[in-house]
Amino acid sequence: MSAPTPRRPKLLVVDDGDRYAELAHAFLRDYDYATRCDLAGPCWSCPRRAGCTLTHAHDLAETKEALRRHRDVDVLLLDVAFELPAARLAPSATGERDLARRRRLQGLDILAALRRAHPSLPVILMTSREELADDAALAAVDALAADESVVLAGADAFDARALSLLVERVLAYRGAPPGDGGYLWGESEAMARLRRDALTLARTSLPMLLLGETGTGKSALAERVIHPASVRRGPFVSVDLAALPSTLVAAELFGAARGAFSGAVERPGRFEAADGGTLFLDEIGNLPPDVQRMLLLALEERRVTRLGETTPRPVDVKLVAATNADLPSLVRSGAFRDDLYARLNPAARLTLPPLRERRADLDALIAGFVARAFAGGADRRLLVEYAAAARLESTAPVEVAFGRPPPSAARAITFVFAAASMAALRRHGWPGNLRELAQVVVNATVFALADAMEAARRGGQGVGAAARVIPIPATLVRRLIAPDASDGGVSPARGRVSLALTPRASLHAVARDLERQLYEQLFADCDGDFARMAERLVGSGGPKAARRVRLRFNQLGLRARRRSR
Amino acid sequence: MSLASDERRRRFARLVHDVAKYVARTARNLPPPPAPVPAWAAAMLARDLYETAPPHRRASFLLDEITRGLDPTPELDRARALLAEADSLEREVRAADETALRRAASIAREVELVLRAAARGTP
Repeated sequence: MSAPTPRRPKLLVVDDGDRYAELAHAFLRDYDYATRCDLAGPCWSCPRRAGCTLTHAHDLAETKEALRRHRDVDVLLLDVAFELPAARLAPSATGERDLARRRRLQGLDILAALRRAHPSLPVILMTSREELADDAALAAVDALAADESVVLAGADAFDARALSLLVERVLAYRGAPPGDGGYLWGESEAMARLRRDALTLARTSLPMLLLGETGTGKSALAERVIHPASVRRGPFVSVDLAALPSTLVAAELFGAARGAFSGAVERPGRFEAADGGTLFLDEIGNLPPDVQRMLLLALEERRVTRLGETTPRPVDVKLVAATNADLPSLVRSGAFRDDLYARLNPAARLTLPPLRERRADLDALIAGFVARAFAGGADRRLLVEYAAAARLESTAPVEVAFGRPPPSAARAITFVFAAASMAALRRHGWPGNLRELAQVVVNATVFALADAMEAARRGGQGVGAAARVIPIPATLVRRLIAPDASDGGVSPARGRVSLALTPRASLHAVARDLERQLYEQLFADCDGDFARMAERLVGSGGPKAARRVRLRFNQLGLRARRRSR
Repeated sequence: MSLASDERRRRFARLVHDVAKYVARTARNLPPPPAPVPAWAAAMLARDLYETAPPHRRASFLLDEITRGLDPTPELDRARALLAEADSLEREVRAADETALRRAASIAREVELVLRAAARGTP
């Protein structure tokens, strides 16, 4: 049985004109919306319009009707200013009588009218702060900050890629406790304190500094907790300073005028992109010295100047910086400015503990990672496939048990971590922290699910009630947390490859070098059998695939000698 | 006599809502070169610039209409010059000439940025 196509969120555009709906139909298709449209042109001309994931309403009455007809709408894309005749305006939620003003803020009145019947429907306001003409309008939008399911799109409203990401983010928050955004806190006292401090500092205008080892969840804390808990409704913009060449950092953060440097085009920087929202600077310790001075000025003056320009532009940004480096040491050595360090609010820094110091949270974290993995995407599809093979309901919930399955698992599919598995997990040092734990947990459940799938397809004990329990054996867990270094770099079970990265003159040379190592390792691992190599690489070991692999092998300058055992 | 600051702010907000957003609507979503601009997107881009608001009011006309009575600013002058250049490209844009389409898209993006910056800087 083939896995079902994942359902895309259904969007309802509420706008008095047709231009926005036209845009959404034309360009959101690239992000898997309007999924049944396969014509060369835009989907409003598609004869199979009925399968489209976008719907459009022009006023409150049409919106109510659309929500009545399409009960599966996931997100409302709501404009704020509406040029409508008075008779079609929603009643003013504030008793406003001035018609021009009611039109300017009509979207907020529509939202107020809808909230009675749809209290938690996620809404993206398709406007920006520049379009809100007075302080009262800004205050009205800011007042929505308490409603976790309302987000201000800002300039991203008309950018299909940014909008699709915003929809994903809004949906990710739905159902999560307010302010937590699905962040896995665990139950330790240290994390409870961290949560309280993060939620408090998020609501201030102060910059925030997140410290912690790699993989402890700094960027997730910034995006899923701090940004939603701040009163800001602009976008969350993240910049990984370790991933940017030092020569490009200034232009990336502050923007550039055309001709500011060789090849420069007119473009805003990430500060401007984050206006009204949160700017997350990961690996702040990597900031080049000249850009440190620019960042200090931006924080002090709340304005940025694009490279090549002289007129600063005002920006309103909540800055969250993170690092796993020892910033005080960098300050002492002169590599990091002491005045910038002081401005980053070190007195109110948040330090995320490494996983080895919060082992009491392991059970809750494992349950959280399993729930997240099987909530959607490829792993969910695998689970649905398993349910079909094992003759279980495809909507069966996923549960996690430790030691032995709980008697309550009547409808659920339960992954059971054996006591020995948990002992191995508790002993491990977790140098990669949460990132490593998530990887081990997801791998363990998926491999166990694959084994269970095989058993289900064979029938017998693999189907029916017994199939509701999927054990996670200790041998599997041990193999995942302590990979065997003698496996020649390629693990047949997991498809993992270990490659040595050496800097080369060009990206092409680097890629070729890595590919060459991959083929060498596979060749050794498969005893020179190109069909087996093709099976690993492209999932098919037929003669045609084997010939293509051999050809590529030769192109890489490798010699095909059968490996002696 | 210059307009009161409330009225100025309203005008700049309207510039963003009625002109900036819609003029760059298609431009900001086009596939990057060297991919060609699809014919349907070229038609949308032409509508953004030359039929920005019904009935057939072009962006340059809207800009003049909304800013009537406002003191000139460098941003408004820049936006006006850009839209004048876009108007001069109308024939080629409607004929889906690739070079003209790319230049028109670049103009549209810059007009949006300039007008948003002007609105942010309005006290």
